[in-house]
Amino acid sequence: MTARTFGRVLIAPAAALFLAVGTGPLLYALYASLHAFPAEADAAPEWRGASNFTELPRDPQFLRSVVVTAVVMVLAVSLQLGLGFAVALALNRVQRGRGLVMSLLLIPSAIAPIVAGIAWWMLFNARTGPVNAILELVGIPPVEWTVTMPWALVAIVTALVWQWTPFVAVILLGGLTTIPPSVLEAATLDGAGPWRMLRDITIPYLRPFFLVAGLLMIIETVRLYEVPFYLTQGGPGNETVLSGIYLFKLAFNFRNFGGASAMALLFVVVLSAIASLYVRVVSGRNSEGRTA
Amino acid sequence: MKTRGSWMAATALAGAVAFALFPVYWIVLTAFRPRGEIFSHPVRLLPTSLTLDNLRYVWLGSETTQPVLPFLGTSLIVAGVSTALAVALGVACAYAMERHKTGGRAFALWILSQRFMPAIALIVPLFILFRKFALFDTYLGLILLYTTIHLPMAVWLMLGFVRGLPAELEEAALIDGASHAGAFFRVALPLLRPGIAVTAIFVFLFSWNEFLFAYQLAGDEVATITVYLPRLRSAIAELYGEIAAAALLSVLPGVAFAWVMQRYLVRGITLGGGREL
Repeated sequence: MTARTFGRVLIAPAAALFLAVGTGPLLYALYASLHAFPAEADAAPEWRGASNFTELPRDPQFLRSVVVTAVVMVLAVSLQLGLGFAVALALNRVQRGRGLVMSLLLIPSAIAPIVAGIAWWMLFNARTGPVNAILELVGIPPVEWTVTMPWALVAIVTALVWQWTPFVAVILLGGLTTIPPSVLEAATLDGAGPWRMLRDITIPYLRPFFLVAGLLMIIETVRLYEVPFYLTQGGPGNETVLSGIYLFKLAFNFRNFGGASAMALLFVVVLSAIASLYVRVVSGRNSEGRTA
Repeated sequence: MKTRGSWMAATALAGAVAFALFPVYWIVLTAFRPRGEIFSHPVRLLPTSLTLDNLRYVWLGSETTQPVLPFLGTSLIVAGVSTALAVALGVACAYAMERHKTGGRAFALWILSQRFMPAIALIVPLFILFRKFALFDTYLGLILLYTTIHLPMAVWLMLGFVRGLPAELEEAALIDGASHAGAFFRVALPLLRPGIAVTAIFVFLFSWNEFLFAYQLAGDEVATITVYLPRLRSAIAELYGEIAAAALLSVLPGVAFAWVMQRYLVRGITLGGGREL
């Protein structure tokens, strides 16, 4: 067997699976997005052209879900990056016990998202939860967290920050270790203070790592389902129906497979655009020769 | 200056660890708390008495709860088999891509695009196709699905490890008369063990924690632990203790697995999250 044949044998099963369960269904989504599916199970889908797509911007619930998702994304991702950077700097500073601290910090990221939803649902419970109990100790009256706005959004963002900030911190710490010590030493000798070092050396060096972590977190928010599903159940009213939740409502509550497929494809296009940015960042970084 | 900085770093980390662990503490506390104390007012932040009742109700089942064990078993089968498959296919694929340049750049980009395709984009077509091909609510359906959605991550993680493996060892084996298959199975594969461990942790955790597909494409005959958890929430009875106990049981296997392989975990995040991808 030549190397060429052996290579093909090795990738064949993976390629077959990608075709059958990944690319195949994606093409079927394209077909579904151009059709309407009648309620009767064995009735043939009807051709609709682009109507499923043109109806989306006229659907107020869809528009609202996009706005809510954007708000959650901006708040959550900026907090994850900001706090993650602070944690990464702190981790970089300590030597002793770093491994232990890191594995403790990573517990939230290893926990199932549905369990994260459950945990914060308990913590934010207005009667039995510790959040209100702690607020009461400092004289703040109880808040109905998951059933009033804007507190329901605050609860969701808190859960997301809890779950992913340490993960972001570990990625950024990976970036911090790529800064050559000689650069830092030279800057110290030149009399640069800690803020200048941060602004002129650390942050520029970390830019690709910030981008990578930010993109992963953006993708995480676009697909977000479990936390609002359990924590707020989309409520109060439909105020916290994020785009992921609305897609499922469209598909399984309203049985609008065509509309849901159109929405899903819109996700794919937006995320592909983001992903191509990601690829450019990573390959740009490789050509600079900074990664090992 | 230096000491003040270290002090600040230590304080920040202590705060971060407290924030990360407090929800875990609350779940554990609620799981072992008697019902009366869960609903006591004012809320007690520290335990005063402990009970195993909640754990017993979810372990053995009660009027309001199903026994948890079959659901844990289903999760173990689905996550275990998908992990084995994704790791096997992933290491083979990554090895061919890196060593034999099979598929070239186009194939690599195709896999990368799968990595970024939101899995929810597939839910409608998969719902329709799974029913058409009798994969709906079956082990085979979920296993195929988990293997596929986690395979791109497995390939990209393994690519990093294959790249770090010196080619000279396999070349020497080839000169000594080994076949390409022999060089892969007998030389490269044993050396890739750390990479295989990292990949296995990630695929296992993601499969174990997966909820969406388990909920929409299965959930009756084949019901995983993540599907069991939301079922405990009911409008009639507030089963906080039982929910916490079940949540605790559900995270133990994953967290234990990740804890044991902790140094690999960090390596995987820096590789998969920040570097090679």
